[in-house]
Amino acid sequence: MTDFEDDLDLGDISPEEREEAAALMAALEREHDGGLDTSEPLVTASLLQYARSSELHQTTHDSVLADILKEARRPEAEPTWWQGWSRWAGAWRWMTAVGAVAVVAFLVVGSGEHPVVQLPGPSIALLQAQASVAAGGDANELDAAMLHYRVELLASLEAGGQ
Amino acid sequence: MNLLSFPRQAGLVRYAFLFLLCFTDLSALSGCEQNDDAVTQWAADVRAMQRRVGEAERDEDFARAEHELRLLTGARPSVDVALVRPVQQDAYYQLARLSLRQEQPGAARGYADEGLALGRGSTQVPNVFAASLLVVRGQAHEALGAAQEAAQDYHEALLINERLLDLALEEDSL
Repeated sequence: MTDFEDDLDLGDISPEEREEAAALMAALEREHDGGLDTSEPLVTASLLQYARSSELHQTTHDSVLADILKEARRPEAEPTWWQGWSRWAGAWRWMTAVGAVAVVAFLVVGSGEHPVVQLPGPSIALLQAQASVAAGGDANELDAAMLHYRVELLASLEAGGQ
Repeated sequence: MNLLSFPRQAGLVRYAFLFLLCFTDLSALSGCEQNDDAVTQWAADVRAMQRRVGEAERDEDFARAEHELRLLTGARPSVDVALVRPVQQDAYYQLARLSLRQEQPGAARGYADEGLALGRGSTQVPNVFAASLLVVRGQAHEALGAAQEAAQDYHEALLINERLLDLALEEDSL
């Protein structure tokens, strides 16, 4: 029997468990080079030691505690009425935005086939006046034709905007 | 419900912002109606300004006519640029013609340049206002003694004019 077995009450432990515990305790006692083996058997041995003697080496204690805290999950708080409402508000905003984009896209695509305002084409008289002035004709003739076209243009703009 | 933990001020600001976003999203749906109203209002403004231009020219108040025409060359962000541009180019044509009548060919050329800078159209979509602006700039070049530049402008105007004539005749034959 080893020294550490003297400190433990091994009455209810089977021989296999005793051998495993002895090996693990030996590994725990080594803690060579200041490093700490964090393997699962070592932790088990540490817990066994703690259960038997209610004492645990401080470094081992910190290691085990760190492992436990790492695995632990923070309990989720019950959402308040305000948090629940805010989720619905966010969802509503997104649904509204997506709907607006869809409607605008539909209108843009649809309007491509049917222009809102169709500007009138130039009259033959206007084109003849342009050609005449470019060939040295009377510029007042072009002014008159442009005035006539201007009236048509404004009428189409006013009609298209309604 | 834990009212003590409720972030009262921050929460109100945050959800007021969300409400505004929702309102903005919904208001986008009525954008087309607003645009129609803007076009109607703008067209009425253009007609009123053109009427004042005509009155000023009859009164031979060229400064007032020029002022009104300059207003017509301004942009109107609420209206589609494809609608505004013809009105702007027409105003530049009128300004150039007004300057020529006042024997200011340099100013006429400048106005024609500004009008042409807004666009000259394309082979598929020739621009009737660009043709008129080229004609009036040719006249300005002639008055300035720049015969070669005048000939180039007249030639380019005739090319656009020919294409417009072809399209007009095609429409008539349909």
